[in-house]
Amino acid sequence: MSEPAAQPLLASASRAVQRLAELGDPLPADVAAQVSKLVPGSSPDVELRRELESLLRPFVLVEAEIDRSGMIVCTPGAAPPRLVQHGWRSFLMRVANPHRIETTLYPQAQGVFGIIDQRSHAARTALPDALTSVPRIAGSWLEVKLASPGDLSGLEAEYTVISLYSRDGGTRSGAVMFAVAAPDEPESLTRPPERLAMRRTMFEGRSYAASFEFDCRPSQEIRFDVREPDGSSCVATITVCDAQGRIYPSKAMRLAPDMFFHDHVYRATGEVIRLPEGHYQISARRGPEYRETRRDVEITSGTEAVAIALDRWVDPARRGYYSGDPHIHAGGCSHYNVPTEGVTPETMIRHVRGEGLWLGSVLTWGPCYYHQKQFFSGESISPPALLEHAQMQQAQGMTWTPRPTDRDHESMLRYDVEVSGFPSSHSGHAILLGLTDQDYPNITLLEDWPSWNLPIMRWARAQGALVGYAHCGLGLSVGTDELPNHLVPSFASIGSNEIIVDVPLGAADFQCGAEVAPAAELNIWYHLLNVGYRTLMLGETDYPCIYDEGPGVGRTYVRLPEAPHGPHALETWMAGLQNNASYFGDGRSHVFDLAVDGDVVREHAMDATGTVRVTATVAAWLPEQPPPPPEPGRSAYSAPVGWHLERARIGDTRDVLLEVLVNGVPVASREVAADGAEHAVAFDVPLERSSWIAMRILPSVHTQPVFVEIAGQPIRASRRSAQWLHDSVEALWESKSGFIRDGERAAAREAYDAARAAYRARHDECEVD
Amino acid sequence: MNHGEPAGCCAPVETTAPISVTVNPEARVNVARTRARLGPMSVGDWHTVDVTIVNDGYVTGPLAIEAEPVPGVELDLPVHQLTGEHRQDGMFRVRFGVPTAADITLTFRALGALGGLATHSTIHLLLRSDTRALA
Repeated sequence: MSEPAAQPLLASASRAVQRLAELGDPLPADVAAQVSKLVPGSSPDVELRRELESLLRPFVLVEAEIDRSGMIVCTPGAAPPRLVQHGWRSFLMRVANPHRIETTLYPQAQGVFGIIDQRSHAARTALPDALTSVPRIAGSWLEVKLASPGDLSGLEAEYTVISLYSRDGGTRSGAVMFAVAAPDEPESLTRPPERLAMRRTMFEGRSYAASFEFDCRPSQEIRFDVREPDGSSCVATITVCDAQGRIYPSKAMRLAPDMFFHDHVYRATGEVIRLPEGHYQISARRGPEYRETRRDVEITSGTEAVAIALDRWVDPARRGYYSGDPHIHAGGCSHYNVPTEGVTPETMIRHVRGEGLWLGSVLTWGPCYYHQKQFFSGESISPPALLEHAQMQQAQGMTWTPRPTDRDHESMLRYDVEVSGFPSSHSGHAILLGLTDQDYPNITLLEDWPSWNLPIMRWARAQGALVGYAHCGLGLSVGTDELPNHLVPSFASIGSNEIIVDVPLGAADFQCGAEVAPAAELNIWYHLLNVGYRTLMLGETDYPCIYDEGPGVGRTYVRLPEAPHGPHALETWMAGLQNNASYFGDGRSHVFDLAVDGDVVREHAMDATGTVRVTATVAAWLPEQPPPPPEPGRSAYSAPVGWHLERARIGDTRDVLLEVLVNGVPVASREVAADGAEHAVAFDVPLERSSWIAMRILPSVHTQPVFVEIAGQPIRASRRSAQWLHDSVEALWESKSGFIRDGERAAAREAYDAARAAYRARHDECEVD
Repeated sequence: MNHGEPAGCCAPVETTAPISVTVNPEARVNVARTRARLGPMSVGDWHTVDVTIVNDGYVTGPLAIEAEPVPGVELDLPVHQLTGEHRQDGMFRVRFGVPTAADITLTFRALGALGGLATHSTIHLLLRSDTRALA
């Protein structure tokens, strides 16, 4: 068996020593200096190897050896196994590779993240083969990751760096284990390399792990004194990050309400995060109505609390505008489904409060359906933000007490239904807001619901619900940013497909978006408005399916005489949505009080054609400078593709373009400074016929339209819009009718034909193309 | 060994060359090992190591390769001219003076000055000559 040549061994050791220093766990200066003095060629290789290994051996936590078959056996090294609770410690690992296998290392311990499963989209998630997950959570206290590249060069021995995170303080037994990828194994689409590597260790009885009695120095509870500008207490998002960019608590060591798909956690005034001593950057925010505040904080043994003063730049509620997100979830997508089948209302309300939302519609859908539907009550609720599943929390060491805040009553949840993962989902995902009964008549299984949406929409509307379509733009992109455009889409996905059938039959009220390209989302809406329908459009998040960042990334603001409150808060908000001024978007820009000739009403009448005065108050906020280019692997905005005011910035200025629309076509515009101040805007707009008027800053905000009827004539503004809708109905049928059950297809065809007839009639009523 | 998915920018490059270099639209360089192996090299002979260059930015100009000297190893590191074509073949040459293994650090620079994506323009490469004499 050969020994490694000194030069590559020293090179590997030097990189590892440098990496330890970068991670804040440097070797003693004299040791590092002696290592740096070992120069290839200065002494025989055998002496250099001996000296190097003698110097580094006391700092090696894990000695690993790869055998001929590519299995890696780990044993404890000489480094004392000392960790710190809720912090990272880094060590050397020496890998002996006598068979010169070129491969990749994978660590095993993934913390609590290994216990939970966010991949299932089943309505009934399979129970794991254990009666309770509590012991498994208690045992998943250790996270191990490679802090150097995991590639092994094939040298007979090399050094790498590993970092260990302990959730717990005190003495704990733990094991550290690695697997290596089989060098020539073909790629598997269903099992990633690390799982293939780990699977190979299952087939032998031997132990591959190094076992330790870790001594974990306890961290301390740091209380966060989060305050609104008026001094009141609230819930906010708190992101704690160290100089190496590591997030605290570790994302792999989170249990609801702290989510492994967030960088931040949600904490109320007076609640705590456990942190070890060290230097941190702490940032806080409470949704887009606030500028992010950042503080550099040194946590020492004497630190008890960190004060966080939130920086609110706009308060729409003071102007009578109340925010809502009509589409968030408590299970499925990024939420973990096993073992708890999603999260509880007590977790969801914490997230909604932390984003400064007044209303969040928690929609039960396919994943975890039968579990989550228990939370439906037909009323709006504002529960305390308690920690769910007490035994699991205790096993996780989450022993802090949730605190009420002065602002808790401002945020409410309403459980309703998204028809997604149902037989009719191909027709678009219907959102049913304000149900009093969530179970379709005479049906107990989700699989037996109708296979197209119109019957569901009618059933829901008969209850007084407001119904519409989610993520409206999906599958409706036609390769252009032109708005409106007259290209018929393929209806290949789950956008607001069947809305073009349901609206003319009086069975759909809205579509939701502010997620993808505006042309894909708004085109169908503009055409419906152009032929006289009063369809609404809302901003939504589809949290955590389209956006993971939190509820309210896409949101809708509705003008109300007073804050929505009580069991019927959602109904109050929906009534305002239908009748009052409102707008939707990313919350980074706002258009208040859109008025025609000074009147803030949605329906406006004129005796004759002429010029109207269109006014509003606009507020937007951008940093003075555009953000620097993102670090590799990180996005600069909340979503790589999505609605975000930064995308509206004109060049390197702080200005954005505000447009006035008449029947979907910009007729006037001006640049507005996104400086956080309110700007009164006014435009004189000639109207030649009955029209709808709106304002927008794309892709950030769009108002609901104001409808202006002249001389009692309905809006029939575009023959081409009617034709587009007519043709799209047939394209939709071509795309989706095959998914409709045989027994329902005749009724569906009849409805589609009725919709086409309605559009033909409107086509003939239009005055212009 | 598949080093083909470097962090930050680039998809794996399908190639039979042992090294891939990706140039992004800002002329920033990402270098990665691929699945192709580097076998032992005979002492005293020049050996060519192929490099596949994927130019995602239509970048034109020089692509230089830099390395710290390693005793016993000669490196011939030609400056390549990026033509703007999406894919180019590149190479460098290695000659061992003695039987040994060497860890060489290669840094690729496009347009002379710009760095890479974080540290991704640098690669550590283990090269071996016939090492039977060391056994």
